[in-house]
Amino acid sequence: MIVRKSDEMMILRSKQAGFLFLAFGLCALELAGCAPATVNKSPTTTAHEDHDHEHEHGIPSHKPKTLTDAVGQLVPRWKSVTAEVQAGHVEHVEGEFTELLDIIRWLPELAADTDLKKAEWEQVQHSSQELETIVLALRSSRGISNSEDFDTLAAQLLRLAESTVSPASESPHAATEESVESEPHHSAK
Amino acid sequence: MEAVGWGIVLRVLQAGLQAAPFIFTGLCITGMLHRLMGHRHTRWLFGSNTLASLFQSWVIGMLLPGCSLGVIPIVKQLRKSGIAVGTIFAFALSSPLFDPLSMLYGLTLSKPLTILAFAFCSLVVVTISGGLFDWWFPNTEVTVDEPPETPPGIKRLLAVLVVMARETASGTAVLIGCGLLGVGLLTAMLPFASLQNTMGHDNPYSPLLMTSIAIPAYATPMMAMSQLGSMFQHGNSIGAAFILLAFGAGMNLGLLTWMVMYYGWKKTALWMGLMLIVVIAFSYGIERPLYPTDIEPANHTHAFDTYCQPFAHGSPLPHGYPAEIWRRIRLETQPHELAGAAMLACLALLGMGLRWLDQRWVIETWLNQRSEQAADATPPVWDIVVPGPVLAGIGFLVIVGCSIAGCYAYYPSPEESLEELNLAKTEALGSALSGEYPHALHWIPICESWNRRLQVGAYLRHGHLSDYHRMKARVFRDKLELLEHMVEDHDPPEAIRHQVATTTRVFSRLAAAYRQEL
Repeated sequence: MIVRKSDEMMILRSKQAGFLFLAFGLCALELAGCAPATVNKSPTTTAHEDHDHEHEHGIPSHKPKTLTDAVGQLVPRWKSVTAEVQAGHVEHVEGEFTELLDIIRWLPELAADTDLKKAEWEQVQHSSQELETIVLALRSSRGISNSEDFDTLAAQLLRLAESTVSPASESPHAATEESVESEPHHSAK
Repeated sequence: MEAVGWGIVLRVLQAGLQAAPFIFTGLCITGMLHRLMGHRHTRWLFGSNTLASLFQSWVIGMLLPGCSLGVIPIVKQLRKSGIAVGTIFAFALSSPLFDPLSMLYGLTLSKPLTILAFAFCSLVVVTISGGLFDWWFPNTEVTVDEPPETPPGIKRLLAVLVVMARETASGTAVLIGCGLLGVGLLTAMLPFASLQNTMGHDNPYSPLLMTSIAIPAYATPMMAMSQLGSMFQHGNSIGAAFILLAFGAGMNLGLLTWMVMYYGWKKTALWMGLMLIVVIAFSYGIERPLYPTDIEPANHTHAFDTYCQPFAHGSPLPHGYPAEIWRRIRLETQPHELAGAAMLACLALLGMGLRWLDQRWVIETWLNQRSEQAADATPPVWDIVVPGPVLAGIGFLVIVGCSIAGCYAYYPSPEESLEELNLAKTEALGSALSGEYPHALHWIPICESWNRRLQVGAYLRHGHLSDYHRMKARVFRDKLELLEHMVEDHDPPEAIRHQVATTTRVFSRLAAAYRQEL
């Protein structure tokens, strides 16, 4: 059988391609060290498991459950950091600043978990941005605080939060199969 | 061992079905390039051996829908047309990264700028590596005779079909098989759910781990984009996300095998080395600037489960592995994937039939023959002969147009998405309540998918999506994901019931927001 030079090259290169697969096989073997995630946990779960799910999702412990909770924490936390900054204990309040900023940034998300309409939600978003600016200004200027504006915005947010039904204030009725049934058909407008 | 074997079968079948429509599109493009454009006009369209040609190839690749398996017949055709290897690789890498469906999906993620940055980075990657490669190896253009012209009319269209059929039953199928083999190899090596706690933003090795997974992996542009979305949502490494897009969607073992076979080991290794250096350098460079600041990183994700073994050890299936594979394929396969697979099967049959027929009669001889009657007759004035390249250009525009029109079908109106989401939610939450956990775990990802399609559908029809609507969808997604983990971990029924109630309430608010305030 006559084998042409180009055919020989092709055979050689096919062998090289075979080596490519072998190389990837060996590389992949290294990956085999990846441990499988736990599949089945014991059915006897405890209360801290709910916390575990939250931890898995990176939900920090200082995250409020509801908008009302979050808004309620704003003024006391603000007063605390302001007092510390004015007393010259700047280095002690970095953690408190971070937590206060976190709570302010969570406000739009918590507000979306209520019955607030679009215009009201956008008001929460806007207030959250303004509050963030005030807190950042305090942190950077080390002492000059705009407490009046902060209090006014916090009071507006409290009014909005109290006007709506937030998850915690709703009746914690247990879901039944009927309650998750499909909604009645909505005809297209 | 049995679970691993059947797991490979399932993953290869899933990848093959997902790739089928893209492979069919790739074959259409190959047929048109070969019989309508010809080598000369193809070289004009893509350019060759210049920096401009790298940009041209990137733009064409971005416009045409494709995946890394569907691009194989096209790159073979580009080589035959005498195009330099750097330009071919630029097209091969950029074509599978984005298509209109995945681009829209990406633009409605919380940080659309990241997706645009990824697209720009891909252009820089192909320009640097392609430019350097063509500079080092300037003589990679092969000379192949121009195919004989086919007379206009039905014969010309038949000739395109014949090219498609022959390509399906040729070495292309073997190369596609090699790509799918890479998927099987990865499945064999990655234990069930072994990537759930990986790819963290704070882990400096995340981009490197992703590189070793993404090269043999296969992902359609849409799948890669949804995984990217999940990575952003979970606060995973942005560098790893870019590598997933560049190598997971853009590369596979079939394409690498083609490079080794036609350009040799050395050139392929050099190209891969260049790519790895540029892509990995980019991935570390963008990690901090593009990392979203408003995300609480989660140390758990299901985004990469699809690359791992699908069956857990020690959890026997009541009806056996084949029945489970059949059940999953039946449930997960989309109509367009089935249509693609059916058309590929027809083309393969036709291709094999033509190969058998070649011993007696070569169809191309008849196709290229001008009928004597037509040659003698004077054509009517209105019978204009459209040149092949014009016809091919129209064909490409139709493909791009169809993929844009397909967006409206894939992302229906918010009203329609909400109805589908409502049905999926009822299945998911109902089965979580009644303790049918596998059923719930099947329907929760479907809910998440419809939740995304709801947002993209609204964006597509209104030109924008407000922060309010994005946030409503995000809250629903978070509740669903928490429920998914509770179901997976077999939490107490009381806790699951409470989560179901919360999720139902959040859905009602989501539906009201999209129905009344859009």
